[in-house]
Amino acid sequence: MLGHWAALLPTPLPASPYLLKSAIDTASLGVWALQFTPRVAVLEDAVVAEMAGSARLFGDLAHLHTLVEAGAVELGAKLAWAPTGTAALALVRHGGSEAGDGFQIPLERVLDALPLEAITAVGKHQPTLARVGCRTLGDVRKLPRGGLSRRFDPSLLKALDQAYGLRPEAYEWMVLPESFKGRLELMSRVETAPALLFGARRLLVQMAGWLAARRLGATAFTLRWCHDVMRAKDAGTGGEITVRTAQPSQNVDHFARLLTEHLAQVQLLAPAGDIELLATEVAPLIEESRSLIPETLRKGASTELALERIQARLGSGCVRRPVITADHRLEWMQSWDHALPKRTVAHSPYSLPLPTWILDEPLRLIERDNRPHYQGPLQLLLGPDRVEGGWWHRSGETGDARPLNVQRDYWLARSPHAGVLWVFQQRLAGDQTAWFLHGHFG
Amino acid sequence: MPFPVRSAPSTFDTGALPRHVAEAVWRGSDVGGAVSRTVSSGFTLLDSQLPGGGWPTHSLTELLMPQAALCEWRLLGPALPSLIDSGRRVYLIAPPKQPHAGGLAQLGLTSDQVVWVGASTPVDRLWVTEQIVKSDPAGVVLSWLPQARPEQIRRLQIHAQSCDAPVFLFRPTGTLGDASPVPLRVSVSLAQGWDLEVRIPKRRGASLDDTLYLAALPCSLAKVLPPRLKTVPAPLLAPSHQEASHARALGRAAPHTPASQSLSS
Repeated sequence: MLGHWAALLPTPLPASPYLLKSAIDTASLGVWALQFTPRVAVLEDAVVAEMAGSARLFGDLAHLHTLVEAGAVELGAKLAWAPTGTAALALVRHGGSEAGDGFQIPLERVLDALPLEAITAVGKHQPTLARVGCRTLGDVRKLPRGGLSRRFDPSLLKALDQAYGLRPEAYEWMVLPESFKGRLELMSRVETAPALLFGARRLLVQMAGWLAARRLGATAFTLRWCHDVMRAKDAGTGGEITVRTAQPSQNVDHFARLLTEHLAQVQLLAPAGDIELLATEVAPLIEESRSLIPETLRKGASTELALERIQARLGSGCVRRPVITADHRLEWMQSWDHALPKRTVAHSPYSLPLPTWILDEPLRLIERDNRPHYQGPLQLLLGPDRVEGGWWHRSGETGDARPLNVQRDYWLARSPHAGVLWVFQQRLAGDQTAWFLHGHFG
Repeated sequence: MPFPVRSAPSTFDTGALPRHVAEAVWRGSDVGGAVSRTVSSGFTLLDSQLPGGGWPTHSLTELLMPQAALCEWRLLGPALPSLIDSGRRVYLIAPPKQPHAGGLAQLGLTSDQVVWVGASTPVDRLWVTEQIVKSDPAGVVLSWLPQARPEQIRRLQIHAQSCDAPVFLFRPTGTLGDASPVPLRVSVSLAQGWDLEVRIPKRRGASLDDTLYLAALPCSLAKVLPPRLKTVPAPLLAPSHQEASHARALGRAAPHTPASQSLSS
């Protein structure tokens, strides 16, 4: 009958710069608590959760306490621990900060000192009980049971017994919703997009709780905001941004940093009053097995996160990874993609040397005495390496598309100041024959 | 009253110092020891002159070049195989020209090992470099920072101290006159033939006044270059304006034409 119960009572956050209008509702608090244990129930105006069975999963009870406490602070909820659910609820309502843990001293002594209102079923009869001289739960417990059961309704004795762990408690457990949608009303109208982050962070914590309970990671989430009624006519009703991550993740800090970067680029058309967060795309999360030796932790995982932050700030096109295609023309041998390549492409069929740097556009070289110059006269070392092809390739579909056919003789050249170069001469170009610089063997 | 005999400075024994102090003390005439793991540069001559016998990790390395895209891969290419084994990556931050994946593949870099991060403004370059260095990547970081103030580089150096990958900053040779908080500065330029001329203006320990000449043939050219081009600087050849009708394969030098004689006259 005795377990390890936590009771979470929503309270408005006192010390925040943007006061949230209402405290978190019990349903979202319950969803968040489901990540620790499946035994979560809404009891009156609070959430109770039985966590004895989860102690092993989270290391030990002390670690579990720290996790729940940190989350409760962030979500704005008061927390108390006790061996029964009703006692935990009574403690979270009326216990001071020092009495938040019902395990320090025997449960009877903790509960005996609490006022009658701590347990609702007892509090209902407060006027009657007060007239008999009862001020605390301990006073009620000292009254004869027979008299209590005859004079008051049976729920009083039942609640009292459940609180003291003399009778089993039965609750209807919460069921985890299939999808996540969190909504928050902001206390004051928010006029700049980055200021939305404060409220959004609380929703992100809730979403991370839901993801953890479902053993999922989010690959995309959407933040919506609704403009309040005092908006300009052309502002519309609201807006939204979707933030994507490459790897499924539950990391609140990473979500918050990505959202910060995205919100920094958003201009709110009108002040926003409400925000809403949705987990739009989720994928199963493969958790890493814990290792005794810290060295075996996968390296480079934080670099992926860093690259995502860079993409969020500088645009998704700034992180580029090469894709090699089977083409002999230097320009179309590779392309750059901003996403992680799905599979490793076969190596280029090209077995002859290729430069390590190429120019975006071949640079026409000046000629003196029939000799190409680039930072001095070029010394042609090896060649020619003839590349022909591309008659099938046009630069576009429209009428002004030009054929991308190339007929070039590539030479390896050395310039006294610019190092080893990859230059070519146009073939069959008539008067247009010229030398071009195309790459560097840097 | 007998006084304890003080040892002369010449017989100074580092063993008498506390261990952490002794590790940080070196003779002014020696090449400094390694503070952290080093990675062999692939050039025996260069390794013998670098503190710890290779490129340092947990620290920045400044490579100074007269112009960008000159000889980066020729210098770093021999060290690459040991830097990028088991799928580690090369992070190129704001390179001056477009890297060519085909050419990099010939150095041993597969296409999923190359990450090119573009950044245009100096502030962005610094921020991107800092983010990547801070995340302690697996592989090697190459960053082109033509404009950076010493205090900005000092900030990077502090982040690099917790980074297990070598971090190379490419900067113009013109910045050699400025003070730099980077513990190792290497200045590179082209020399005769295939050699690179390498100076080490700053390193831990005694300064190096000599110039090192490293035979740095681009890796991809080594197997196609005929022996006569490998050893001596090839004679100047002038190309003909006419099309080389019988040329089919690489490895054939351009034929002598009257143009070359006209040039020498």
